[in-house]
Amino acid sequence: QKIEMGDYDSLDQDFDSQEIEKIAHNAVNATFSENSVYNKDKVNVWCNQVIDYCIKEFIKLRKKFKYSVTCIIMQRNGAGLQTAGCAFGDANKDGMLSVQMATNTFNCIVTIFAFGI
Amino acid sequence: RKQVQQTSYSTGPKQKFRPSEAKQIIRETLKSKLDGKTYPAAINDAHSYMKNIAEEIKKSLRSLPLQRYKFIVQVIFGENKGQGVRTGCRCFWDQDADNCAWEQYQNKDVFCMAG
Repeated sequence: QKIEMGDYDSLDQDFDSQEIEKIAHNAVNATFSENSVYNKDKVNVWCNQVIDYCIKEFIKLRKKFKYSVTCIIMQRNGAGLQTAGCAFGDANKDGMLSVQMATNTFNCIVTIFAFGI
Repeated sequence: RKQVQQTSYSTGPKQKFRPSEAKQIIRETLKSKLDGKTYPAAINDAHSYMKNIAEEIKKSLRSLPLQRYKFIVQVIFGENKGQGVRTGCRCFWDQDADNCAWEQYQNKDVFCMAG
């Protein structure tokens, strides 16, 4: 089936935060569970897994967006951690969201930026 | 003879984003804002520290002569207590036009990454 110019209607262009959030939650749940322990050797792999899962699922959505996904995994040590993000773009077409997850030994924050093309 | 018709719109950026310039800007901002600072005890102070840093970096980036670029600035700010941290970032974009620049800063009480 040939895809014509008119096939991309306005619904495809909206930043669907619920869908993106669901994908991010799935990515985190698929990689580690509530009982996972912070392991400095595995952390590399986990980080990559979460991000890869997210990006692959976003591409499958086939929406006209560019994505940027950041994942932070930090050991729980009593230390504080803050994350801030700001973007300069088109408020109607772009979006940003953040998903947090915590286990007993580490915290995980996934931030996703999407820019409409 | 074939006539080549030039398009009146441009398909790529006239001036590309240079990560080295951006790294310089980020490094200077982090140094000036965080030299000698400790992690603030109150959460609101930490919020405002970071918002400040992110806004400063965004403002300095906007002063670069780049047309039609959108920017993202992300700041990660934490207390330095010997814990392990792992950060990863991946982007899905146009390789010719888009790029990223990350810089980090550390002193004995805080660490900060901005990109």
